[in-house]
Amino acid sequence: MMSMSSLDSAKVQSDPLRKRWISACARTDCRQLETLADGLEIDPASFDVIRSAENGLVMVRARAGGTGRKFNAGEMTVTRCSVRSAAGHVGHGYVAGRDRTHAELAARLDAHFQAMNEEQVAPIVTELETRIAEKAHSRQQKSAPTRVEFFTMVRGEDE
Amino acid sequence: MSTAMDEEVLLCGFDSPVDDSGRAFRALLNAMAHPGTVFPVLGPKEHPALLSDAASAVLLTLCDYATPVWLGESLDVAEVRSYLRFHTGAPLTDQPARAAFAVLDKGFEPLGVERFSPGTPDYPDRATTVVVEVERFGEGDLARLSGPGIETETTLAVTGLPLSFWEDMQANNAEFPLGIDVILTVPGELCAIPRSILIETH
Repeated sequence: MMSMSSLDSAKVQSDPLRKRWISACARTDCRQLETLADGLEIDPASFDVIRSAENGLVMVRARAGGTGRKFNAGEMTVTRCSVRSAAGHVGHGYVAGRDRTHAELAARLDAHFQAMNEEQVAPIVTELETRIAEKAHSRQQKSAPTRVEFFTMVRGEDE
Repeated sequence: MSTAMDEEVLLCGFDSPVDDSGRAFRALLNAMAHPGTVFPVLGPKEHPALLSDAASAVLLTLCDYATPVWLGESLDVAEVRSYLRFHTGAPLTDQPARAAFAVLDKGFEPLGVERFSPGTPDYPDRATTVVVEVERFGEGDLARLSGPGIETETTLAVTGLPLSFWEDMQANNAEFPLGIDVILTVPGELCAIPRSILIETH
């Protein structure tokens, strides 16, 4: 099983915008990230791969009702990758699923965004987040009409 | 936004973790099976300045979250610590007796066999494996080795060993089946001296 080093998570926690873009890159689909990376003129060859993309399992833990005792909800497949830009920024990508290209793109974008100004990055992140929300909304719209309400029917055996 | 300068720069590990650590593992198997014989080993793409490529390859191949690692005083620096933590996930310990692996820098402090775990009679495999960085093979302190894996006997000459290394290894061998196993490393090469080996010096 994979473990995220405390070093990585501490750095991400201390930077709320970075936390947002790491999350947005992980949830945006691979093609859109490719377009974004091309638009920013990110050259894959200019990065050193610190840890090449690898698949693994992580245990998702949860609390019953959000406040109860911790329990293991189940394992999920995660792909991660770490790269270093020519300027020395270290980028990490952790994405759900087995798409190595996605993890590599997310890692490169993380490294690239660190070199940019907050004012430049914020609109890009907001746009990614909007698209993710739109996608989730349209999925909900599609699935809502298929909802079935179940009623307990009286069949007569209970007197 | 943070600049690259105030962040600790992480170093690259194996290019292809599966293939490269497989090759390093084969080198280690060969070295353990032929004590006193020097084998070439390919290191990771980058390694900390204080750690040789061979020692880095050994640690990246063998360590994981279940193997506490102890670092010798001069190696216990941020660069080495973060390298091992990131690439292996191994917990770093300050108690040599609890370590599954220990790393000693080339220098002239004694090996200090008794501070490491020799294993227990029921579980001799729980002993510490000590990676000792040395200067070079082929010249320097000479010893004749014999025992399992050596047909008759073999001679090993090493420069840059810890103080009274061969005497300590003789004492270590006297405790067999308990005792530590040692892997000597120089850039690009390694050589193993397991606890089962009899040592004669001149």
